[in-house]
Amino acid sequence: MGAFCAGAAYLVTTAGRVGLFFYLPVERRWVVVAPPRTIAMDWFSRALWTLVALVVGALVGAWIESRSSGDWRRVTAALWQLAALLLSWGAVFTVLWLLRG
Amino acid sequence: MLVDAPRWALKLLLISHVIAAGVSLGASVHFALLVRRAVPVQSRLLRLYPTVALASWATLFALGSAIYPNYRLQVRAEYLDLHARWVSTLFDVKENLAVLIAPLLLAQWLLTRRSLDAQSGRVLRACAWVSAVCVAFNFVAGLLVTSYRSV
Repeated sequence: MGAFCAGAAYLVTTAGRVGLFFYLPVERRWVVVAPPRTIAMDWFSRALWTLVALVVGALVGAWIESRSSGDWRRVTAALWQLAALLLSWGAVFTVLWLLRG
Repeated sequence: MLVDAPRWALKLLLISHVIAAGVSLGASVHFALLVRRAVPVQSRLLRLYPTVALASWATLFALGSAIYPNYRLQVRAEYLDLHARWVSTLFDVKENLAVLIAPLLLAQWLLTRRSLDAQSGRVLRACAWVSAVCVAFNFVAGLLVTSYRSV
């Protein structure tokens, strides 16, 4: 569950450009919209959302698992396959996006 | 954020970052080799390596985040973007891959804390091998970037 949420959060913030905020190292401040012709870093927000989704997803998954019966294993297996797809897609998208940029 | 920290402090953080990367690489590769069997042999190392890999990743992440703004200004903007654009692209791939490794490291840590059946053994092996390859790529990429210019 955690890996699935992390993969989804990474793709939403990277491909969808949703929920990003920026650090401006020259001015040393955080902004929601990066001014043009300024060095702005969005990696911190992308990493933050991905890690928050990972931790929240892992905790929710552990909670559901502790309360459910045998069928949860099949759900977990399906979520793993989706997580692998999302994480692989995220990695491929990042490489193509950076090479193109 | 350490944008204008003294050079010695940045160098110290960078060297600590490299040492943590070496620990992460060692733990990840050893773990991948340990779980290469269909159902891995239960041993103390089966729990130790994922713990070391996860802890060293967290250390790497914290140290890297601290020196990243300085890199962005004094290394990438002032040198790499002007003279070696592909190296700054390689660094960007590395930094994003570092984020994507986290779910795999956490998953393998959690999986080694329960009894493994054939299915979870397969997931564990996949996590171990993919994360080991990614950590190795990041280690080499980091050394290459640093060989061009560092903080």
